[in-house]
Amino acid sequence: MFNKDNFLEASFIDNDRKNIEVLTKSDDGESVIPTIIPFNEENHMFKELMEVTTLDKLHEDTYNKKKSESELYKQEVMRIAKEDGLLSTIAIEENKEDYFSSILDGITKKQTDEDHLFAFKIAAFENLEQINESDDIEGKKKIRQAKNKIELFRAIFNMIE
Amino acid sequence: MNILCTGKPGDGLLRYSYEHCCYLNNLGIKCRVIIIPHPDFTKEDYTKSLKDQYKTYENVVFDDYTPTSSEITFVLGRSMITLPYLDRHKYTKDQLLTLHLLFKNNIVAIYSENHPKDYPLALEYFKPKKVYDLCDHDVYPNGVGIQYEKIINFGAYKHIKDEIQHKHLFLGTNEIYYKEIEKHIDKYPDHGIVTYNAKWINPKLNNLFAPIENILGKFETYVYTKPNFDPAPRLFVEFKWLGKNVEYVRDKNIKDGGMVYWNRPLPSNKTYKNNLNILVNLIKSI
Repeated sequence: MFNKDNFLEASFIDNDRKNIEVLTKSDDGESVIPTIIPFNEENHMFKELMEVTTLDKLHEDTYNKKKSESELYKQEVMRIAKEDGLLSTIAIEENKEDYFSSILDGITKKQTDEDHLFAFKIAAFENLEQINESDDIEGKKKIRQAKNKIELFRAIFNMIE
Repeated sequence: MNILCTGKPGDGLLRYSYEHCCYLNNLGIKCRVIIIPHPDFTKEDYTKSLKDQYKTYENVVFDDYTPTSSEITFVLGRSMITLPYLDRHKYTKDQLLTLHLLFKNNIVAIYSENHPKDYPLALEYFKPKKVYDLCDHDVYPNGVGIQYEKIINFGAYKHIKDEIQHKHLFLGTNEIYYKEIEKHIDKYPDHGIVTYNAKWINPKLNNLFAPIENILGKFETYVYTKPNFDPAPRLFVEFKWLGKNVEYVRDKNIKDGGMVYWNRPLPSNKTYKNNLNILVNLIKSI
């Protein structure tokens, strides 16, 4: 059933390491066939498996597979957190130094970056009530006309302090 | 109030926008037209277009405007919101900021159905406080909003000089209109087709490139051929207003503003005022 021609990979599928999933190619090579077998040295299928791989390799592959799945899971969680705007909340709650230093970088570096300036301006107008609801046209003009981040934040602080 | 126009200088929406602005300012409602020029046109194109047609040229702002949060944004068609959303990558940062600030406020929008799928996405993107709908239900029976008609404000027009140059006027400002005109044009030897210098025009025909000064004074008859949906036609109403001839050369089964406006009486000062009062009352209630 398992041979060097059709064998793809094998790994334990449970924490107790009692069951193994073996992936093999179909005869036409078009699909992948999963087969679950017990970790039992007397089992004939396990004996076949041991002819194409080793127990050490099986443990190593299991570790690598779990690691890779865990990475994918983390990436997915981060994607959802970003989408829902939760990243900053998590960072603040955890008091992450990296988060605050990246804020400082965002403000002090690339002073005239058009995309940064635009994003800060939109955020100020949309999220800060003292600016959004203000009738201080001159103050708002200073924000929208700011040519660098220092000018921009000076104008923002003037309106919210 | 700010009337936002993101259309082209030849569009009827620019004219309806400016005419509303004139009327509302005359009523004492402070109002301006904010034009975010289409990427293919310049500010001068818009200025010329308005100066050629109207007695005044005032309360027009380009690109850069910072509204207070209590100012209302009025658009003469939902496409004025959807198009800038779809074209947002073509605008400058200044233009885009103006659009964000204007659309963040309360919006009064006249119903139209140009982009039914993209319109909700545009609202999600700009996040307005609230949208108040107006709708010409004769044109859009399934539309939403308080009944409101787009009516031409002839009171704002310059005097039309009679200087006839051709018998028949055709409007061929895009390829679809132009192809339709080509089906009929052999019956109208003394014609002028208002169009743009584009690759799809037929050089053997008498093409006149827009914008054309005093266009209403240069023809005897307007031949209305527009083959697709026309929500609020202006040119045949203008010709009728001047007592000139109009030929309706299009499928009379098309259910749109074509037949609706054809059958409506010419607007009087009273009908114009009554209609605008609907908008004024809405503005006051916001």
